[in-house]
Amino acid sequence: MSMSWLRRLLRHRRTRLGFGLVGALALVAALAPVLTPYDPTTQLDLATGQLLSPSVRHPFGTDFFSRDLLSRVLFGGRISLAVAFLSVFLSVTIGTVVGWVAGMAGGILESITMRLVDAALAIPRIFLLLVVLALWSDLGVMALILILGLTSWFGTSRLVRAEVLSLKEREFVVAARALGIGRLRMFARHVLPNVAGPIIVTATLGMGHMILIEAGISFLGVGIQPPTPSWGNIIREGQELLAAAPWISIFPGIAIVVTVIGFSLIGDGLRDTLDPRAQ
Amino acid sequence: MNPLLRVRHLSTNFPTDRGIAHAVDDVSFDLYPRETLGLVGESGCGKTVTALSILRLLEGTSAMIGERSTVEFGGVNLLDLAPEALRRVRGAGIAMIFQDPTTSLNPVLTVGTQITETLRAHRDVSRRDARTRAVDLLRLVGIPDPDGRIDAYPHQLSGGMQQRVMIAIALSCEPTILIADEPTTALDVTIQAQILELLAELKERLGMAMILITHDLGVVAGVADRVAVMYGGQIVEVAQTTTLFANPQHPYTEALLKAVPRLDRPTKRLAAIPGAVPAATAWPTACRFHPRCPHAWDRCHVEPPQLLTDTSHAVRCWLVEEPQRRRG
Repeated sequence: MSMSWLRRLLRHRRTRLGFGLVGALALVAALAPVLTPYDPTTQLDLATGQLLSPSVRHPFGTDFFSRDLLSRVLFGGRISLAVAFLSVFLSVTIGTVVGWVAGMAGGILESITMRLVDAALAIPRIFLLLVVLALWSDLGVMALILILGLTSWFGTSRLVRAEVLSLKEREFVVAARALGIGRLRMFARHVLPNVAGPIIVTATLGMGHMILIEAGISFLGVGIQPPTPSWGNIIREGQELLAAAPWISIFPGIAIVVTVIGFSLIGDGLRDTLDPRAQ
Repeated sequence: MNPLLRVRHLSTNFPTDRGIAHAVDDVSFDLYPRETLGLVGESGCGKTVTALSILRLLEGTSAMIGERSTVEFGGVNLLDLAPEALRRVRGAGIAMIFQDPTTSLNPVLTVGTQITETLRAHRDVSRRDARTRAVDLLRLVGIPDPDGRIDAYPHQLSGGMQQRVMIAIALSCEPTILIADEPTTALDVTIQAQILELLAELKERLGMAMILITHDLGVVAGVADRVAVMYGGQIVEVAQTTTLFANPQHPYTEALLKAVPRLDRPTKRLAAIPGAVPAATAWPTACRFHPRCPHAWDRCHVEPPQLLTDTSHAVRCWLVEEPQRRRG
């Protein structure tokens, strides 16, 4: 990617803001062990340290178990961002491969795959997740990533299939076939770079969705299990104490909103830059 | 001499909402070593579909190839070849270049990458050797500063240069047959001549045979050894270029030649062929040209004329049997 491409991407203030927000959050989350003064799961002082409001010692206050909320939000951010990133990576990879195979194969294979994808898309994702998660209990983080990834590639596969179908008709793909370029190479060099734009855009916007979904299922109690913090389960813990200690839910809530907005801004910027039709 | 490529009874049909389109219907021809065969006809007469069918590039579309069709190349029928064997023929045995170089080069890959990937698809060469060979190829097709241009993206080159790059890619594995599908149609007239000259020169130098698809009789006259004229998905006349131009037998060929402006023949108004090319879903019965033919009589509506492929001048017309029917 050339410099001019990057300059074009960063031309809009909104895109720069998005990168700033996401970059800052990712950096803070990555450096959480260094930045936070307390362990996120240690109950500091159950006698006098419960539900302290924000102060210099505890900038985000403490929760019912006297744990430092800033530490929990930062460590929760690591989990939430990592889960979102890995599951989006998984889902985009699966979606791309399925979309490519369906698009290239055509015929019955394509019809069957795409009807199955349609059926899967017709089920609201949150119910699909609740059903899947209800079947297993005590899932680890890796299992959660797998499940999130495996249930969210349907949209990507449709998108990639549509792009592959239009690329297949493009003359340079026919020309490359006429010159004996193999299938894998065709995918890697002729198809993928030309569908990279839409894929990157979906992945970026998907990050925001995935953070919301992870927060949602953790809030419902089937996602990341306490005492491991995630933004969703911290909000859940603060829910009952919303009147007495609103900061418990407010701070992770703000973190979620900021992240989702950040990814949306980046996604819009990428779409404007990568989609030739939008120029 | 044995032909390099023997196409027999090639038929390609496309199912459409208005019935089956017989885009190519029972096309047979031979291509001999080191020969240039011009495939001429109007838009929609089946020239391109013929070329795409030979290399099986219509697979994955709705196209249906006739059961009797064979394309014999190197002792095998390309139409029954396994995918991997077919892949090895494409590019290395038979290469193809297309009409519009701006769309047939991948916009996101450099010129060098597109040449080397073809090389490496067929030959066991290192990256470095492939690059050296790519520079040589660019020089061969007359691109100035090949060392610099090899890292250029297609959009940084002019149309003529892009077509030279396409030719370099097609020739990279020294194919025995080059199919050029209207290689100059998308280019400026001045560039057209250069590209045709280049193709003719390279064909001689590399000892290839070439199928040159075009609607431009002037192009054929300059480059082709033999010409096959197509109308309505069929070959209607095949002959040596000089014979065809001096003594066209089929009324369609005759009309085409009359429609070409010539410097040695003062013309006020060019002769046009009455009517239009019918749709491929509804070819006229028997002879497909009869509704537009000035000589047509009852037989032409009823009995489809046959083309004899083994004679040196083959014509699909009943006038061959009943020359007295020719009018004017």
